[in-house]
Amino acid sequence: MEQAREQWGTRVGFLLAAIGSAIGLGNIWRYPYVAYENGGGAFLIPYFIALATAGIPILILEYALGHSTRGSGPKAYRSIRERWEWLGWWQLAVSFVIATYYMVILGWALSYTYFAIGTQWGEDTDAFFFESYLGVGEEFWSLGGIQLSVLVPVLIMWAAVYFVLLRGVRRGIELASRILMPVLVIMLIAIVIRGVTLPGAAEGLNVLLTPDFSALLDGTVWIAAYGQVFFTLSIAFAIMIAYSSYLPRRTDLSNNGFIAALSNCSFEFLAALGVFAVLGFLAVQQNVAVDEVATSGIGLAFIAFPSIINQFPALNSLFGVLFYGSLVFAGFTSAISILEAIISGVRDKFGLSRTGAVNLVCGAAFLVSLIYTTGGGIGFLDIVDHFINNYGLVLSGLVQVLLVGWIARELPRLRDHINRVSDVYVGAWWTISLRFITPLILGAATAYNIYEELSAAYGDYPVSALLTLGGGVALGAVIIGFVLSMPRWRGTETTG
Amino acid sequence: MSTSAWVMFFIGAGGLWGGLIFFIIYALRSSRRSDGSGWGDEGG
Repeated sequence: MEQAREQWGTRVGFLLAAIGSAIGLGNIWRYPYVAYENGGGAFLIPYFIALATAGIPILILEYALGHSTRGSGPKAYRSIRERWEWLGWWQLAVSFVIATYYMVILGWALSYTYFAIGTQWGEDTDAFFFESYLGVGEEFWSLGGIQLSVLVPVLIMWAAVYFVLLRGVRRGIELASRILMPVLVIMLIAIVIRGVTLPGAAEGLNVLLTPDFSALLDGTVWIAAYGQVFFTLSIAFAIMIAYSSYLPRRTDLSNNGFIAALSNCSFEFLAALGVFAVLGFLAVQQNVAVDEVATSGIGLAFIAFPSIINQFPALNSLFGVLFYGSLVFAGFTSAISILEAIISGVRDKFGLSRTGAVNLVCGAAFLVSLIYTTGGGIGFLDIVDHFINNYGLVLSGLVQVLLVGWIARELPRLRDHINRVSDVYVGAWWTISLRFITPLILGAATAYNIYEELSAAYGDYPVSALLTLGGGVALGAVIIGFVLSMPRWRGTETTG
Repeated sequence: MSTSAWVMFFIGAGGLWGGLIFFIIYALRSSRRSDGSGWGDEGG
């Protein structure tokens, strides 16, 4: 007998979960630097265009795929063309890889929330992070054993994620999002208010917002804008397909897409103001230009920010707890969504109970994540992150729009479905964006990534590491996609 | 902050936050119009 599919309790609950999925670490540590590096204030122009012609259309497409088939990624693609089930598993394999290291970064953020109390990282924040905390060794391939100081917070984060996922869609994910998202917004507003009232904040904001319109003539700026929109909205993870499959039959898919996308982008715009205000403060303290202290990613969060917090005139610990706490909360709801997409796929195909699927997926992902808790883990993480994003997410996103727009030609049917259930009408711009603009830009981005890869090897890593960890993992995800599509479908059948 | 930085700030804030408020108000109005239900009880 077919088991009833789980369902969100309320529309607000779904929206907060979808926004929580989109808002992650990248909103705080990626967007500000990408905007600064690609024309400052002028970056808003390609960013808005990318949002309208790729971000929101793909988001609505994924909502429609999940909602119309009432299934996870593999089930949705299988319902379009049975032999395309592998695309869903490919996207879930990519999600699995990302979840394994994402959880470790959350563990670091949790540690730093604690270290912020009394600024325990000391004056040399670089040495503290790499040597004292991570225990990074000299040789790339020497793992150096599991670091207990990293393992414990990672275990705590895994326990919290496991608990939420076990409770299910409504009592777990929705409840967690309802609590965490408002708290996160309040924390960010507090960070921004403190940031913009620091001496030197205006210097940082000037660097972030002063437009350099000549940058708009540079093609890489446009690729960066589309890339940012693509990464920030959790597209091509098959997350939104799973999340929208839990929506009731009558729901406003298109307006949900607008609200989720604009909430996410509003959040990162606000985060950028806070980050660059604080970087301006650091530049003034060190008597250097903001350009010299501007950074992103792990370097921003775990090296630059501790230095900044050390120099705060007052309430250093409070600001540190707010900043790292916001990273934990932002990343937590994203990690839940990545794992839920996989759990949903496993349940659909193999007919497992929620408990069985959560145990299987979280157990396997936890074991893999242990490799990143070793002394050599950060090098592994950096390589895997680079390759799986550029050749897993972007490429599977490209295949996704080619399948739906050109191979299966499903856009008219999906558009009818969206307009039947939604209040906001989706017109020709949606079809044109998905059939022409998105494949073109994603194809250009992939070509550019390959060109960059061949021009210079990524980082200072050994070629053996780039080939096995980078290329191996990216290729392995495709192979796993095919392998997992082979067993007989044992769960609920497709409805499309 | 420079004038051009302020202009870009208002474009960003207006476009993103303004757009968000617009679609939230639209959703609130249309859900009331269609079936009388609010945001809290549209789900399962």
